[in-house]
Amino acid sequence: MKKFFSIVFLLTICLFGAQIIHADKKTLKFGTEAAYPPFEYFDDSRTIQGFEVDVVKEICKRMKVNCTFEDQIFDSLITNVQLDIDDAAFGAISITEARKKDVDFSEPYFFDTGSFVANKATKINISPQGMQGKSIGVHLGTIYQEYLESLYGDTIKLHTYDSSQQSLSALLAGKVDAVMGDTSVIKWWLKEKAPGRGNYHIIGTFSDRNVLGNGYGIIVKRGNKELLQSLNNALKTMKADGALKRLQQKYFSQ
Amino acid sequence: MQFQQYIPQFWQATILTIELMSLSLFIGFCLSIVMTLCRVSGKFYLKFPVEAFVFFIRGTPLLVQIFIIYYGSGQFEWLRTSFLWVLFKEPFGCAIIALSLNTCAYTTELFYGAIHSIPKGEIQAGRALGMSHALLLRRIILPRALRIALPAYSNEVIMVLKSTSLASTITLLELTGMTRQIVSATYEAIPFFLFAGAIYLILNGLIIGSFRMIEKRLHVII
Repeated sequence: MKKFFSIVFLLTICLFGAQIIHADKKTLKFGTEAAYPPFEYFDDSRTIQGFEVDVVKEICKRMKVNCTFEDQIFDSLITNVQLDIDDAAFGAISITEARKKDVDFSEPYFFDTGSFVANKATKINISPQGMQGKSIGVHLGTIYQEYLESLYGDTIKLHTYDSSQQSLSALLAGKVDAVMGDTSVIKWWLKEKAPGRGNYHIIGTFSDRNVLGNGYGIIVKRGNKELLQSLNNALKTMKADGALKRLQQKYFSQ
Repeated sequence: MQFQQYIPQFWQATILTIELMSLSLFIGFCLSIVMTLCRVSGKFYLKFPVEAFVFFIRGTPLLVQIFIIYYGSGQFEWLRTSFLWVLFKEPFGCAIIALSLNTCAYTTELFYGAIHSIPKGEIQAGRALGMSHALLLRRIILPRALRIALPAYSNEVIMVLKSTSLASTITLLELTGMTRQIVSATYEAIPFFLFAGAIYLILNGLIIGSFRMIEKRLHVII
């Protein structure tokens, strides 16, 4: 019995010891929704990949910290940062005044525009008359939802989906007449995924900075100056030495 | 927090939740009576399809069924051009189909069990009095079975009410969907979800209360 306890004791020491050593290098936990190629997605071996993941990995390398990524739903990202569930989060989160009330943003590292995609057979155009009574799919909680609401109000039927992928699936299934989302995501979809690729096309693109925000930033809890500062410093060096540009070219040059 | 400004939206969403629940319960109940009768008919060609249907519906998650009906229905060109597309295009139609089929399968199983637990003597007594099969069904078997199944059926009603929240995944703004919509705009997750939970609780309280009343009146519980 004594032997048994001493073994248990030793094992406990080993486990805790390992944890103490592990805690030596700080680990940052990032939340993201890995259903947004090419920004972040699961590859075939179920690891999270993508443009923003590469950006954040590079940032962490420069900050000399470990980082982990966790898949969460987009509309919970801000809440999770506020509740300290995540240290920081990213996921094509546009920097807007409304969101700045809830979280702090890093400097932007990417600018995107919004686009409508529709079936070529659908009679639709982006003027208010052309949109009258149409069903439009959009990812819940994104700026495009706000944008559509402010631009078209009640004249369109807005369908909000859990992911942009689901809204595009709904477009394929004929549930909505058009889908609005990030131009780069929609272009990627048109190029890589849309079955019968020729049947779908972009019917309009918006680049209204007032609504679409000022690029994508990493979010941290409000007042977390220390983390924000080191994120920004790393981003600054990446912009200066061209590392950011190289990553953009890797993912978005067509 | 500007809680009051969201009250009308919550009201709308609650109405939609009740609509989803009552419509699918109604359709499911009517269908399940027919299916139960098919099942106890003793005829193979009536019994087998019903058993297969109940097996498939009970054996798969409701969320999967909803996705199949919503995203899958668009795959069929004949469906997209038929008059049924009106039903399948709208998320409301898809949700009603999924919820109705679901509750129908469970209720069929419930009634089937209830019919079997009617004391044999009561049916034999009916036969001895010279009742026809139809009259026996109408006067003895169905009323007795429904009464036996009543407490368990209240469970089913509650389950359907809670299942309506899954309709939010196909863009319906029922109580859960609306709450998520509001939370995504305000980032105030806890108070709004608590409020939504309270509404579900009140609705279920009303359901439980009414079943208690009916049970008492019908002397199901002594």
